[in-house]
Amino acid sequence: MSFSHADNAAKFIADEARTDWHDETLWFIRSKRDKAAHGLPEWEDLRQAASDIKEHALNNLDTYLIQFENNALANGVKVHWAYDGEQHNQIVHSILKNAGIKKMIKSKSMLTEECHLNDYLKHYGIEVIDTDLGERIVQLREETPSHIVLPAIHLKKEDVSATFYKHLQTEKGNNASRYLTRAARTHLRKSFFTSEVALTGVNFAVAETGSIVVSTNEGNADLGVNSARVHIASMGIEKIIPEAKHLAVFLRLLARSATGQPITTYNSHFTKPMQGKEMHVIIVNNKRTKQLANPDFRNSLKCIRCAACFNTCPVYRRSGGHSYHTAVAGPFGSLHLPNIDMKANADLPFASTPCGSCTNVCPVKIDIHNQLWKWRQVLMKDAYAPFGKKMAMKGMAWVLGSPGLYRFAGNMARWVMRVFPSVLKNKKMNAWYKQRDMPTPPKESFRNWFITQKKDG
Amino acid sequence: MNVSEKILDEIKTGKSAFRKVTITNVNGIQYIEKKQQFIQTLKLIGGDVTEVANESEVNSYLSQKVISGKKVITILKAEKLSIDKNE
Repeated sequence: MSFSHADNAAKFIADEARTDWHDETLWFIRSKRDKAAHGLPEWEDLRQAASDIKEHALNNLDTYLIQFENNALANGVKVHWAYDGEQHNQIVHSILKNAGIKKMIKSKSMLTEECHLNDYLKHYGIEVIDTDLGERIVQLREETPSHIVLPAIHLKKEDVSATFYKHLQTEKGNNASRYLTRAARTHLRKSFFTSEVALTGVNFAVAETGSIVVSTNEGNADLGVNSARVHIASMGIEKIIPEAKHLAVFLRLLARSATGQPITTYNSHFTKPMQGKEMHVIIVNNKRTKQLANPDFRNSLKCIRCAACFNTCPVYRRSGGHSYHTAVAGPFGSLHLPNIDMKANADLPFASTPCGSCTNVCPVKIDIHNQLWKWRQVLMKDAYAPFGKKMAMKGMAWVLGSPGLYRFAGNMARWVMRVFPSVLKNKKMNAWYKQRDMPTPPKESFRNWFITQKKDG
Repeated sequence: MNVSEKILDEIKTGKSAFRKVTITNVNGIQYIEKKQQFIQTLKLIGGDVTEVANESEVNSYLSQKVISGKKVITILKAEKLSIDKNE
């Protein structure tokens, strides 16, 4: 896989039928979201309330984090703080090491993907089994998730069947959904009942009670936590909400925005360890404080990871999640990841039209497309843009800064288009022409035409 | 300083740095952006922005108070602008 979204996207769209199918599948989810949202007359009020609650929580994050920690500690939870991804992984490893455990099950957690936890633990000989079905499928294929809510959305049932045939010894060519689901269930059950540690993500951390809320449709987080002796929950600092009553706002928005469901099937509240068991919460920064201090990107910390922006984004739908070369793809990944590693993710904010559809559907009103546009400015200024693009922008600024040069360049361009059309039709030199026709060049500029028209009265 | 203290300290520092940067940046930005940024700033620094009275009041306030270089935390109220606290 290349570290260029454009290169990866070119490979993805080479299979036109699959691209169309991917596009239509995600648009179907977006349509379900619209139907669910339109069914609530108070939808816009809910979005505003969610945005305001998150804004308040971010403004008072230090206070609420301390309140959460104190309440969690009082509940018997062990609270850890991690400054970055490496430290988070070390903490998880030390918990496993202290318990003498070599195998862990994990429900969906985008934070652990961000921290590359699975690779880290693998290095120390610890086996991690992802229990979310989509996550398990991509794990068996040694891929990263292509979508934060629907990790295997890039795969058809035929692909899943081939994967299960290879790894789970199912019947070759049996694509029946029920058969494949049953095979996955049988395979995962063993792991649920033999693992002593279960790691979960955190959708919301309630400061008032010190409890965490985990939302899943498969119930895998609950089964894992209830079977295991040790529960580890990893959360970013921005997951804090002040009070339990605020869940009434967020849970209504989350499921509708993510999949068009009225409510996620399992919204589990974990407050304290069960008798004889351990519960750990790891509070992770990983450069979120940097984001918090930046007025242009601070708002993105409101994200509740519903992926509505993925499902609506025309670039994501037609280029696939793996084109983003990270486990957190889509418009949100393009906002979030340059903050963590600007150089490695410098291409991502450019993977957008930016049409603003992401902003329109965001349940917490993050101005996603504006922030992507601002990231582009930061990246150009900090010299993380490709050399060709940087030179082109400098050239454009030079030409557009001088009316004389601009007129000269216009005349030259029209002349080249007329006399040497092959130059512009060269797909290597002009990427625009790859999928478009070049317009017929006008005889004169609009400015000259206007002056002539004015003279002629 | 342990990890939690370091993170909490960065959160606090980020909040104060944010105030300075945004108020300084207000100058020189086009009017409509000034207004939006102004309201956003008030919200982010903890102001309870409920309603903007009208555009001219915001514009007038910006030219008189913020661009003059004062650091002001203000709460916009439904019918009028009022300065509740100066820093």
